[in-house]
Amino acid sequence: MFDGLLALGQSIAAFSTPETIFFALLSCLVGVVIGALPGLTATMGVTLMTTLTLKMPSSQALLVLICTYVGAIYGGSRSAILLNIPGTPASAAACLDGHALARQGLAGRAMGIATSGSVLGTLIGMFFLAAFTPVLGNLALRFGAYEFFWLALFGVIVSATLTGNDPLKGWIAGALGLFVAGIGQEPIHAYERFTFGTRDLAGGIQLVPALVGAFGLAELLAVMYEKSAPVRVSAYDSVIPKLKDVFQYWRTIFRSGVIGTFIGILPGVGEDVAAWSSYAAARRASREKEKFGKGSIEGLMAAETGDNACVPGAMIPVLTLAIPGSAPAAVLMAAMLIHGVRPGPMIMTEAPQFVYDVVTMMMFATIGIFFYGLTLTKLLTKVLAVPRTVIVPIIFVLCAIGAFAIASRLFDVWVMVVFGVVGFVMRRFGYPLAPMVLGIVLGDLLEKNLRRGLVLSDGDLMPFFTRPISAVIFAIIAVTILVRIPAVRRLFARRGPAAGSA
Amino acid sequence: VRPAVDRPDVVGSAVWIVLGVAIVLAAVAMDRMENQGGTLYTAPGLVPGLLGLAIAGLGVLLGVRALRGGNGARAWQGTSVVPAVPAQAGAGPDPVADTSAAARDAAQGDPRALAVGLLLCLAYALGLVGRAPFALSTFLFVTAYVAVFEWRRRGEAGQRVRGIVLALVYGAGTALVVSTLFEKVFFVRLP
Repeated sequence: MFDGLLALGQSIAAFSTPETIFFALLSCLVGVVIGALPGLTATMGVTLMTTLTLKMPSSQALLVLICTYVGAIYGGSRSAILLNIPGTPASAAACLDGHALARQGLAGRAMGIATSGSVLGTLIGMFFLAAFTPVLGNLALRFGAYEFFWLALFGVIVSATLTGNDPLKGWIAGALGLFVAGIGQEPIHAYERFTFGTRDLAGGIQLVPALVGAFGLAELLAVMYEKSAPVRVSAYDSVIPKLKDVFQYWRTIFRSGVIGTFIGILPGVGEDVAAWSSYAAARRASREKEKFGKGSIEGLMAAETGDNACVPGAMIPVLTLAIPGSAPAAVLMAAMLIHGVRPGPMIMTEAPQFVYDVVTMMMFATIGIFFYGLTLTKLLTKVLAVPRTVIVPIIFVLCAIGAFAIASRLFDVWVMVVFGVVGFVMRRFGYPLAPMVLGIVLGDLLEKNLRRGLVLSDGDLMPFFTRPISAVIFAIIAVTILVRIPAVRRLFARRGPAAGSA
Repeated sequence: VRPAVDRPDVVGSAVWIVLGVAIVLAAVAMDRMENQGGTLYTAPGLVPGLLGLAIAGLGVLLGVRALRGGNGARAWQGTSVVPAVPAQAGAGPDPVADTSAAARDAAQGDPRALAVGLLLCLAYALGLVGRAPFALSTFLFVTAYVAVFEWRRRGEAGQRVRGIVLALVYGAGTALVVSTLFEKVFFVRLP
């Protein structure tokens, strides 16, 4: 434990330079603004900043990306409270009580609650990040091909089941993502698949252009399609967080922090599910259930603590298993690889200090959102009033650069456009995009380990089910799928009362 | 009363079935690399084939559900963590306080704006970028986008010329700032 604290101290000392603090504050500001602007998500923000930081030293680049991520998740609450429009999907739950408080003339207090919830949520998540990552990292060293195959499938299935509101469409999106990952040269014989003779496709579909399309252009197309209502910013009072709110709802904060972190650890599930789960848990446990949806401080605190705690939580599987806990974390993982950091089971052996560097980056981001929580309200209300007709083309220009800059290929700009249009259509018809993205990220891991496992066992499928860790992950996958099938649920519902009466 | 067939999902189902079957056929036709000591387990078509089967199978499930109507979809959605339509959340300006025609209008989609916006984006990404200098492409795109989308509002306010001048300013500003920031400050290569 003392080794861990010492390593954390070293990281904090290394990052405490004026230049680093400047970059942390600047990127938090960018994140808060991106998060606050409806139609711009944390994933889009982190993806665009990945391009901007390509030539920076790796530690500074990752600091900028993490601060943007944390800032964007926090920034979403501003438009949720002031406009009743969630700046990011993660803030949808905050709309319910945040805007209700604003209608009562308490927008400033609501923003203060969002600030304290977000700061404390990130701190709780940071604690678990520092405490769990080394443990999980050591456990991951026991994983072999069979376990990694199931883990990759688990990631896609869990993401597909819990994001969106239709598991069947989530599974289809996940399978499509896994298929897309297989386009290009396959990992064993370098055989070209589904390339139709084009050289560009032989290299495969790169993650960043696909992400910029799915989370950038698709969002912009949604903004174009939705007729924008006139922006009416609610009046606000003092935004300084009240200690009374923190002390009164400390149980809610702690519970939401733990739930948010746990949801973050689940692959590809993300902040919106963390916010709604924390909100639902707070409502169940509350003595003031009737206030939820009508301006409940507890409800807003739960939603904001949950979604921000999810951010450090989402980094735990990235660091230990190379499996992203959310869509923005998938981009962060891609950025780590671009900057020469190899996340995964070997991280605690090869670069243990990096884990504490990430914790320190989260700490800087927390300070950043606290600072802007107190100071930025006036500027943000001005930014929120900028018409979308101006923001959309500027963001699209950044999307084009974001897709191009990683490999300097025009082909990637076309990939971005295709994924944007397909992503928009899929979203219109209720298909969640997070499982598709996770499928693209995990496709290679899944395929390599399935084929490796089959070669090792000479085609015998039993090791996939009989090795203890494999069996556990398989059982979780099976239960996750089965409980979502209505016919199975009906069967259990029928058997339940019958068993009870017998 | 028999619930209405979910037409978009029927179409979606057909797309997934066709795609899944096409993937399976392509996977079966792939070389198994036996001349390099490959086996069935290392065959390049193994995983795509399984995924094709999964996509087609899930497409069939979706089709069956869609043909049964709305109740089938609702049964699947029953256990979702994220609400399908969060009450009040994300509704924009408060519907109780804001009963203006503009707020009511905002609740509906605008396919024409989408078509025009998409066309401009495609013209920029597929037509201009890489063929014309980046700053010029960006200037043309941003100016055209802002001018087109502000045209009606500015016209109604009698500020059409002002609208065009502002569009030119936004276009020039974006081209200058983005080019300088990426190329000169962050050393990122532009298309």
